[in-house]
Amino acid sequence: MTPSHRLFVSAILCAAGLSFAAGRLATTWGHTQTPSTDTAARTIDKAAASAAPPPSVPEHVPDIARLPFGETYRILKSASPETVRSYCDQLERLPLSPSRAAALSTFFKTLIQANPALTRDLILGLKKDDRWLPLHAIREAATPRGMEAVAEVLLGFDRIEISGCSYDLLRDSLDDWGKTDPLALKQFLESHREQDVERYFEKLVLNWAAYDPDAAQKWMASEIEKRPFIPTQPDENGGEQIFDSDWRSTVEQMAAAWIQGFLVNDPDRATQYIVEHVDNEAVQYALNWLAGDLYLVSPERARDLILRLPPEQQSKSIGGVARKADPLVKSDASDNMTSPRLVAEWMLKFPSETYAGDIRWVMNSWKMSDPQELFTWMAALPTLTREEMIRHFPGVSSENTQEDFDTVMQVSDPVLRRQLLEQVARDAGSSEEKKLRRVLEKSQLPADEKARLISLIPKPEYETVSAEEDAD
Amino acid sequence: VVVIGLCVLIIPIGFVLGRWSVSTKPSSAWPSVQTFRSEGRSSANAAPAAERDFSNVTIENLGQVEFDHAFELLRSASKEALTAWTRRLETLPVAPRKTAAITVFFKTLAQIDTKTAVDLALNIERAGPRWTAIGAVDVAAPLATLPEIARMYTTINETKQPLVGDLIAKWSMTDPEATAEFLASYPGTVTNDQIAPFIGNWAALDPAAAARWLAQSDPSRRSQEVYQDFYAGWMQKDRAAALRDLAERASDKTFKKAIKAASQNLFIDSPDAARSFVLMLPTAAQKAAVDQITVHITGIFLGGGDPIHLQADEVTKWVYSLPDDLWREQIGYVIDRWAEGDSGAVDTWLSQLPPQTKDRLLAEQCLAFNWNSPTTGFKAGLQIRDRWLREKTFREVFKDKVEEGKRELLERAELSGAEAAELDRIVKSL
Repeated sequence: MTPSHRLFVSAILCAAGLSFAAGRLATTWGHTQTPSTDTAARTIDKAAASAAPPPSVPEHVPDIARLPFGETYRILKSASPETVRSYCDQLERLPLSPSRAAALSTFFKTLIQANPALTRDLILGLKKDDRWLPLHAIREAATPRGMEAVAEVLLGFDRIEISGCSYDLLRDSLDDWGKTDPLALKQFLESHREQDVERYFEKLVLNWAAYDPDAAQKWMASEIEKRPFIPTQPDENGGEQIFDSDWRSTVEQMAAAWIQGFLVNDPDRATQYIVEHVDNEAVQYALNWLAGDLYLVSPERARDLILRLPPEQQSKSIGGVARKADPLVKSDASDNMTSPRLVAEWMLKFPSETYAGDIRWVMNSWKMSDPQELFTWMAALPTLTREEMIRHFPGVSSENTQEDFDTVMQVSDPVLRRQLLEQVARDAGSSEEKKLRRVLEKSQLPADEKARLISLIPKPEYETVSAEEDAD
Repeated sequence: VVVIGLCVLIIPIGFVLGRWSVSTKPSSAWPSVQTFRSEGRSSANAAPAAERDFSNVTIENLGQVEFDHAFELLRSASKEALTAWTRRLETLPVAPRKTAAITVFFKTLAQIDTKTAVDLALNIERAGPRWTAIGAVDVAAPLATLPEIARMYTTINETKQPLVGDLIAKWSMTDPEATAEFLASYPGTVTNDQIAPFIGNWAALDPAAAARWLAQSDPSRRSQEVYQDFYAGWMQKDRAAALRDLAERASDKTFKKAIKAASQNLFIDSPDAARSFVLMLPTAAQKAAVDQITVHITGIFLGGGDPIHLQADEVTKWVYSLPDDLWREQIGYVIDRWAEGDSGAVDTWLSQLPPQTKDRLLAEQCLAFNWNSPTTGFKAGLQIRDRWLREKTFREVFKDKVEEGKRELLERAELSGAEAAELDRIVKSL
């Protein structure tokens, strides 16, 4: 090879080497420019980048609901906050349609995982009426790391908008959060005191006590010390004027919640505590749930606890167990502890005066899940017990009067069927009686039987008109 | 020239090879990810290593790590590891922590791999943890994987409890035909409350198909609630056609809720459009439609107050824009509520109207007085210019009232000296 040839080869090799290196470097730069907030995020983003080509984001945004979660997550995780905001704006501007709702729901459901703080800011930046859909989306998807954002979005609503007699969206979310991370919840509640969050202290105490009852108790005591009760004053009617009833109620609920949490943490010690402090108001309040919670740990322990209580507290406690009867759990399931049948049979081991107030709840669950099994069971009971069960058989509901009546008509034993129909008629309240009369009149029963049953329906004290009838 | 030519040829090839060498070769900069990937999705030979490493994971603490880590962990875990974690979660002692751990695990997994999440949830033996897992998978599954949730509920085969409401409401947002197919074979209970959002979504996407489904379904499905959502959906797609169709059926009471909801939604969007719709309806339906708007001002809303926040002035002016027979005996209540909040604005509005019209509206407001605070109503009555109409109005107010009732009302009204004297004169002359 001549020197000039060597020079040619060297030049060509040099060019090849330099271009190869440039190609590698260009790739590396491309990767290092991926936006990220912390090491963990960078790791995920790089991993994602190596697994699939970078997604072409803007075209996908309106159709985001059809993308796999992993892809949507990568898009939102790697985009800058400004870009994410622009996606959100783009989705918000779509015309009202299920496709828009689907896209927005998917967007927020994913963003709460990728960037909870930005999710919160975006939702709180929307008009209040437009926040509901994103709120529901993030409540569904959020894991504990996103719960602070969920809670702050909920605090952006008036309390009355997110709660009612039987629900409180913020309470439920804080409860879910507290189950995993009570200390994070504590920090949240302490840093949002000005937003009237004290009413949720009980959820913190309950969940914290399940992990660490001593720490939860200390915190509770320090809160009470910080805010002692305002002394009451006699009022003009000889009663008492209370100036801090909300706080008193919060303290009472916290104290009861602590016992519930303690029971989860250490059932033996807690049971002893309950028995020794049964006169305590908080214990008495907590008795509404305690035996039920203990039943899930061990039905025998629950029975033992109830038997150690004074008679007047026994029936209160057994109600907690009755409410564990789950219509979704079948009697023949491998784990059938909460099947209505097992709960009913467990309750029947107590004297009837102990279970009488709550057995209806269990029978109602059973009737919803497997009425035939319930009727067969009832028919096989000893006479006195069967009569007791008939007396507590749940009546018809105003919403499903026909369906409830049809269910009873399926009873194969004619005597039991007649007894149950009589019970249903006697039990009809003012909101069901009109409908039950109509159902009976339309039924295939013999005319004299219809008349007899109708005569058993109590006359209503007041004439009522339901919204449905009114609409007609 | 030859060297330069060769270099020009080689440089782009070298550049591309350089890039490929990076993208095809695992980077040593991401050891943890590569470790998970090689272990999680490896051949049988690598399985023991995977098991060993995954067994060190305290899966019940999944909720305490950043979502990135949870995502990466579950995404790269083998089926065996996921199954082992599920068993571990199932056997945790009964406590809030157990519920939380199962929820977090299944929510996360459902988003990454819904099919596996469904399989694992269905295989949980104990009832409590199984339903916790099922609930978590249901709420967290992405819309694109809802057929898996449908499979889950079909497998559960629960016939009494209405479990699939959320599923069909969500699924129909993207694929109502598939949702309908699922419903056709699903043996469980589905209430009309659950059918309504499904049919609403379908009508918004394909009203003709939704209408066909409804026509072919069991007659019990054609309820007021279902039609309400059907027309609300159809209005999103083709408002004019939906309203025409609804107006044609307005004399059938099955469509009453749909008419009320349509009027309300139209009013929120455009009071003019709401007026046009009301005028298309037969008389009885017109009244129901107007009531649906005015009730937001005259009604008492428990809980969060009026959910759609209508304004009394806007509603008053809208009602006034309708024919007389639609606002008679109706507008007075709305004006009185408006006056309670801003009597000056009411005065300004009334002063712009012809005197006779103003007198009629004042009379309507007076007749709609509030028993607990009759001041604004009575003041309106006393402003009626036409003496005959003024006296007739108050005669109507005090008709059939016993002396004690009259006295009570007069005491409650906070009137000026002149107003009180005039009212006293009228009452004495009754």
